[in-house]
Amino acid sequence: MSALLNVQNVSKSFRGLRAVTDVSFEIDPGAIVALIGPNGAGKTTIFNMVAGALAADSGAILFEDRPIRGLRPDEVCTLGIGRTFQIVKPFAGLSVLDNVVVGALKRCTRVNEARRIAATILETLGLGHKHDVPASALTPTDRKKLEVARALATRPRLLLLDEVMAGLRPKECDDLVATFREINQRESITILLIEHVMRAVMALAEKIIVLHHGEVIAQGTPGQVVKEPAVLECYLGEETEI
Amino acid sequence: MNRRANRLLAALGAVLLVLPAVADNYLLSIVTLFLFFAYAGQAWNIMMGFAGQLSLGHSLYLGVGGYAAGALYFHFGIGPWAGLWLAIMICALSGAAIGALAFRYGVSGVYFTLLTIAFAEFTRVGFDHFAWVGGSGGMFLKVAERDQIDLLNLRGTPAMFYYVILGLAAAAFALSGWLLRSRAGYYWQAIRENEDAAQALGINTFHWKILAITISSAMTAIAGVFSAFYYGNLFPEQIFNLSRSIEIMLGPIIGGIGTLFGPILGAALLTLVAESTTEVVAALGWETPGIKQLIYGIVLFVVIVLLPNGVWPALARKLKVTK
Repeated sequence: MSALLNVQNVSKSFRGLRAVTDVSFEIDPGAIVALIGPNGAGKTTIFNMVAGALAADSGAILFEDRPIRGLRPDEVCTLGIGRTFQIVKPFAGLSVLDNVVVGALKRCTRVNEARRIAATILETLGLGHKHDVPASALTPTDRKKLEVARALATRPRLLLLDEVMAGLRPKECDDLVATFREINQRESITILLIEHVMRAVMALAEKIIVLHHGEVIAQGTPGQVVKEPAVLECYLGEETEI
Repeated sequence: MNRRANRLLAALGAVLLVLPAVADNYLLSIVTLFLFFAYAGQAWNIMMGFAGQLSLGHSLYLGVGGYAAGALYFHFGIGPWAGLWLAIMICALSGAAIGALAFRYGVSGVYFTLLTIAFAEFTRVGFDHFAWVGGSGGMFLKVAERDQIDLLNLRGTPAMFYYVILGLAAAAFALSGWLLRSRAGYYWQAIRENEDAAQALGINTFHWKILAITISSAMTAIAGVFSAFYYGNLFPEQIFNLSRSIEIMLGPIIGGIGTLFGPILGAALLTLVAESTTEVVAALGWETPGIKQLIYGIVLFVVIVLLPNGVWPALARKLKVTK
């Protein structure tokens, strides 16, 4: 079975500062994989390169064996990769439903059908009662969920989630974890998530990739990763409770 | 839009339809002017209000459209209904070209706006020296018999012009409403609200922004043709003037940018304010130069301070015509 996403020796510098160095990893179809690491490790940079928001300096990115390095974000989305933004970017002046309709129009061009799809997705994420609320009036938590709903509406085969659990209460976090499990299993959407909330990472991920100073220092199952001395030293040992 | 809104709209339409039967030519000319700006404002609103691309150079399309159809009529006797298509084509292509140039090289925000001004300005200068269409001395279309209706050549009574622009404004309203509820409308609003997020949702923002500017400039071309045949003359200094572009966008700004009815309401209010200022100033016998403009400016200022989103969103709530 070939990997859904194959990142090979990807590097990226910003004005001489190496943000990501020679990073390689694979994501199998149907998996839930977490990308973790201290702040500034290069996680979001990797996301942006996969999603087409940033061009990699070198290396290759393959999605379903197709090279996607250098494609525009909309082209990457059209191929089947949906993303959320760490700093949420809602369409503030539009209603919650209309925000998701924009995403749903990727898979069907009829507005009425897109509205139905959007309504179903909002239901899944527990925003069903907030259709007509302007996105600008949502709480930070709901804005994170709206990001996910919008990305899901494009019907991705790979969903990139950038710190959607941050700031959530434990209960909300567990609910969202359950939602992601359901999305992953029912719609067989592969998920790659960046997350600092270890409670969510441990509950969701079957594989963890640990990044430090732009390099992959460990990858494997959660059980393997937490035993890696390098990981304990640089990351888990320092600041995180599991 | 609910049933109440439809009823109000039907009432407004009915009043406008029977107006020429009861109004004198003076009143008709004022309402014609209002409808002209209602139409042009809606065209501008598609680009700025829907898609978030601020053009301060819409006089370009007004002028080029007017000159295209005007020159065909002046030199070859080809009527405006044929010339219209040339006007639309040239303006749509110019709009698309300016958009392509700007969006391809990442010119956005205020820099895009500056570019639109620049194109309108150098076209104005160009037309000042364009002898075939009269240069800075202007071009004069054959004087119309004001009492005979020659719809084919768009020459005729004020009532005829009135119905033409009424039809155009109504058509623009219908088109705007349809566009806003279509896929294009959703995509434009997404681009307006957050272009990065729009792109991440698979929207080819370049493509959709070009579509907005093309439709908007094509519609404005029609306004230019109307203006040329209504006034019967064209001067580069007037039609390409920056103040023209500003006049076009004042209606939507006052009425409510991005709303369907805002440009129409805004144009109506501005016409009303301008005319009543003239009346009041005349009645009071004030002769200070610029007093009209001053009052006009103060009224605009007050409206913008009190209702920064325009008059229509507030009025719509009062009339209970929104969901």
